[in-house]
Amino acid sequence: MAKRTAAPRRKTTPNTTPQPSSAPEIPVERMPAPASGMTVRLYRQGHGDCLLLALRRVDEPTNDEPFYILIDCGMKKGSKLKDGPTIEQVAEHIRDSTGNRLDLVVVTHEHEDHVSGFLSEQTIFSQMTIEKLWMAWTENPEDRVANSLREQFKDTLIGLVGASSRLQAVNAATGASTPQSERLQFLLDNLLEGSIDADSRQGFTAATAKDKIPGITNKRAQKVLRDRAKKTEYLSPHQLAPGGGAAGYPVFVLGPPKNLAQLKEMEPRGDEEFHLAAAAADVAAFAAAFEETDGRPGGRPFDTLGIAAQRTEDIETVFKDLYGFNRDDYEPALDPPVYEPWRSIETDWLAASEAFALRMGDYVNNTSVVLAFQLPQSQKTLLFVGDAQSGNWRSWKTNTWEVEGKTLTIDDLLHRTVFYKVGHHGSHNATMNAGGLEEMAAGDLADEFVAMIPTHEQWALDVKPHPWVHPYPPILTELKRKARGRVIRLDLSLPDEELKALSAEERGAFRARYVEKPFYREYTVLDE
Amino acid sequence: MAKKQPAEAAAQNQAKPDKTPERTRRNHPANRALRVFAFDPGVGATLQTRPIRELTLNVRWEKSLAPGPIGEYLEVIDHDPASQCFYAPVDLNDPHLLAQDGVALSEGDPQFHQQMVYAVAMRTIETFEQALGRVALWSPRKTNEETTPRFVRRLRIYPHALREANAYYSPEKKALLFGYFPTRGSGPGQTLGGTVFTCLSQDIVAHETTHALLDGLHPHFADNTNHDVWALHEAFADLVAIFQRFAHPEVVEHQIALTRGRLEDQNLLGALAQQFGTALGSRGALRDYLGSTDSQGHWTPMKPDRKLIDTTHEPHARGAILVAAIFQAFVEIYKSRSADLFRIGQAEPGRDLHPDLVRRLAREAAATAESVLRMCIRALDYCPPVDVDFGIYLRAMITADFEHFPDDSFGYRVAVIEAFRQWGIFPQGVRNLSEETLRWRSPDQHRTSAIDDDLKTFKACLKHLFNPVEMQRIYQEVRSEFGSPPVRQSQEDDPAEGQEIDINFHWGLNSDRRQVDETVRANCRWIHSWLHQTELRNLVKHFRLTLDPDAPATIPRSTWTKLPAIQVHSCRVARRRGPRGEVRTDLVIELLQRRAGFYDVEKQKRCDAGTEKFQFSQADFMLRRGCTLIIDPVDQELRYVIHTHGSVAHDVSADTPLNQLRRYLTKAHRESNTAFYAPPSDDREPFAVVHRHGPDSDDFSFADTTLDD
Repeated sequence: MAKRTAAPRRKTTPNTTPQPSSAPEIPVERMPAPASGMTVRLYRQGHGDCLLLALRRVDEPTNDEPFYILIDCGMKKGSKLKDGPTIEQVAEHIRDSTGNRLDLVVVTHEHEDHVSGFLSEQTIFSQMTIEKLWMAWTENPEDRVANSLREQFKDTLIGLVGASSRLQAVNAATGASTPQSERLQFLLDNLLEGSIDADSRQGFTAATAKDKIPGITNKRAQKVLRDRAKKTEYLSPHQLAPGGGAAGYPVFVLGPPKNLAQLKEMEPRGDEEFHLAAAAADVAAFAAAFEETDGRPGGRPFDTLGIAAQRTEDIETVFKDLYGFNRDDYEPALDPPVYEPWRSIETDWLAASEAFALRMGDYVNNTSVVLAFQLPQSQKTLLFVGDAQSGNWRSWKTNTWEVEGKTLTIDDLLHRTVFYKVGHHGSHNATMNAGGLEEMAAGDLADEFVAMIPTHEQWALDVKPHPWVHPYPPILTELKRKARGRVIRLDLSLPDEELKALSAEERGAFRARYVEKPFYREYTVLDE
Repeated sequence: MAKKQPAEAAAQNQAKPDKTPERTRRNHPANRALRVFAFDPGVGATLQTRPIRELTLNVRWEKSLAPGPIGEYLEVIDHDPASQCFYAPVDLNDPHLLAQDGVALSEGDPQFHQQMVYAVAMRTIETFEQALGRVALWSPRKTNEETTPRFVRRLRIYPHALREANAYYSPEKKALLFGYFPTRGSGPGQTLGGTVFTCLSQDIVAHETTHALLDGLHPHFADNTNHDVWALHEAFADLVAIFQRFAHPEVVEHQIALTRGRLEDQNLLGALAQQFGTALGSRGALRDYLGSTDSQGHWTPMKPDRKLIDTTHEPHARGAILVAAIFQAFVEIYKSRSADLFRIGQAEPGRDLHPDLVRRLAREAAATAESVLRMCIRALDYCPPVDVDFGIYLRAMITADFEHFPDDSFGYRVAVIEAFRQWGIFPQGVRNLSEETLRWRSPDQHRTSAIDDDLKTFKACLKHLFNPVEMQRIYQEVRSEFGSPPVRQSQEDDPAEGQEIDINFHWGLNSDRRQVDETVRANCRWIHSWLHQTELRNLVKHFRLTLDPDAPATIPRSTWTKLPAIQVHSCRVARRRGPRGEVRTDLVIELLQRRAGFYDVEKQKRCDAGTEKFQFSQADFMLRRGCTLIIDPVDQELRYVIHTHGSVAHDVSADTPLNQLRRYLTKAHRESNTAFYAPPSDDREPFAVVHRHGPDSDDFSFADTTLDD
């Protein structure tokens, strides 16, 4: 447990709900809030984010009960650490550490490694009291723009499912197994995970998928939380969070951007509404190929129907018919074109779906809620970026925050940032240096900078078909340099030799605020 | 199907007796006139561009052009797999079409699309062939099962293969795949959501056809071995697309009148893929080599930027630097060639030019463009077969141009060198940027006492190369040392006993392409034997090759000689101007060796030492070193040895080039990872990924080298 905490407090609310089945042998201690500042606990469930924050209620000085915030709870399937807890154990641990009550849950974005726990452990979460849920404006069912974005991504998914089943059908007919179809299946599984369970995905075709896909992935996890939370609020950038913040701490919303171009990492140009419709069009045209009209695929480019050629053997027949066998108008020396499978393009057009899928993954990352928590006294800032990628980062500086008549810029916030939850497991395009990391912890605060990376490097490097380099070495190096070794990792411990750059005094101070446990890593930022 | 062949073609068909009366017989025409969009359907949709909407291309008359069209070089197969159908092929010999220059312009008629891709691709092939003075060959098909690459007569064109904003050349399928997509912009002639066809853009068709032509000449220019290789592929394809359009006087005159002769001002000639660019939502063409338009619609001319090359790595963007440099050189030459015309014509700024002056200026522009383009194409014969970069290409351009025009009366070479300098493109290991230092040097020029004897020996051996009797003797000697070559080895086929060994360099623009392919392969075979004669074996080090039996085991061994295998990659002819203005034919011989590379350095060591067995197809990457020899068969003189980077010691067995390549590839690989998912890396379709356009296209590049043999 954190060493420098407030005076030991008794449990003020008894743990009323019985926990029969999985109660640990040693009762889990309540997570205390520090006397001032904020404790950030990073659970070690595997490749994914699950952060529990504890702070004192500045706005209710008489209430000694800590204010608990949970930011995300998820992991990639199969990424559990050998010496770490299961996600079930983590959920139980959260329940017991918080006295079965979360004051605030933040879902940064809709990827499996951020939300899967809410679904797989819904029996635990649905028994907990959840006061408030924060999600990005892109999840707001009443937001017109958000809704049309969801429609667009539904199209993408239908296109992907269609492409995948078409590829499998052709492969089945020709007996081939191509890397293309493996890659596509991999991407598709990633996108559909959590949205539709594996059984329903069996024999999925574009036609059946249409009714089953709820628009964007992982909606099921959200539903658990929405049903449970007493209040759901949607966050928009360049504002303070609803109610000004949490427990009397100002919370600044940095992302996701409202500017759609940045959301999709496009060069901003033209007006946004127009772009939305336009970008949707190419996916829609692709996906239309899997919807039949008059017995032919939709989205045809010409009025003429052409000569139908549906299955591989039809293609061969039509080819021979049209191009050149037994024709009397060929010069005898000229060899007619031959139908050969190696030159067929039956499946090449489906490769476009991979680009759509990748775009979609990046888009979802960019919808990450990005929050800066400010400590009331020192105004030190803790930055949680979800998996925000460059488009999201770039949008921060496009506007300012108005607080009590004062105008704050992103640099004002970054300069005070002493704690950074590293984006997207430390990948190469989810931490920007210029206008980002470079600006963090300026002046006197430079000595205090600490970074936290939820990464399981060994597992990520084994991801097929291509390894994920998380954390990306140049970013890790830069983080270590800036934090002088104080880079807290989910998968590793932090031995003294990593902290050589610190003076003995600094090292002692850091050790006093840093905790390593099999279930989690924990660090406290003091408000002084 | 009705027989629609013209009388002449049928007359040549021996199977059918020709009953046409003698007097009415005509020779077949030289050209076939076919209508196309001058740029694309977007250009020509406004009042200003209306006069240059349409062009009639004169395409070489092909005797037996079948419906498709299917001819000697191309076969247009109109399969639309997304719509699950074929579109009926156009028969350009239909009298109704012959009488009206082919199918009329129409975005909605697939047969017009077929006609346009055929016409534009054929024109591109002709440009290429005329510059090189020999027939063009597509890259042969290599499979794992067969050791001998198979001749591919025709490039296949699929005008409606993809449903996306993309078009690419597939080296694996020997095919061009064009896509169609709903527009995202509202440029001229577009409605939101209307369909844009990439096959209706002259630029895109010419660009992709050029990829295929370049691949036919230099298949290893698709191997990603440094930042410049793919960029050069892209740049070259853009150069051909841009300069080719200067051959159409209608277009050039229109644009010259519009800019009052100032080609450096905003105009359509220096920009590529107008409709495609606006359809993707940008403010102008996909790539504009003259300037750019900002969000307020202001156009600013492009300025040379010497630093850009250091920070630009994406192939299209990096290639654009090379194109910008060469286009700048073109504009400068045009300006200097037309300065007198402006003075004579007393052209005043702000006033329209006299139509006669416009025509004369257009002629100057066309002549300049043709010369620059030929310079660019001929340079390809003066490049090493692998690992080329911009600096090497510059040296090749200067050398090639010198070989055709020894005195540079219009200052082409000076202009090109100056433009490269302004864009920060400097060749490695060259002390200054003068024509003399940039030209490749002949062995005689940089001869030192150390290689003097070697050169003498080589010259003696060279004499034998063109003497069938000597070659037979050498062949017998080599054979008696190594035994008979095993069958089914492409380079080492045992020629029939007593067959004359004749290095054939007498082929050009009128040769039969399949025969040329066989000739080239036979030449390669003889040169392979010739290289293995005892006298030459110690000299191959000057060609960045090794025949050391103790070379690393990662260099594949010949199944015949058991020595490190040398691939005689190509042996073709190149024309040049001789000292007295006569046309000479040089022999261009490309020699290559390869070595299996592994990212894991320890594994590399074990495999090099032969302590760990491995499959070549399982190597992480392939290092290739070698050279291009340019030989004058008449004077029997070695004119140039153009080898890959590095000193004599840097052949394929040296570790320096291997380590360099490993560093480059691992770095490129890391940089190409997107955050959440690794990018698609389809080794089989390198150009597909490079050409996939979209908001995130910068994230794509391909990760691995191709392992093609």
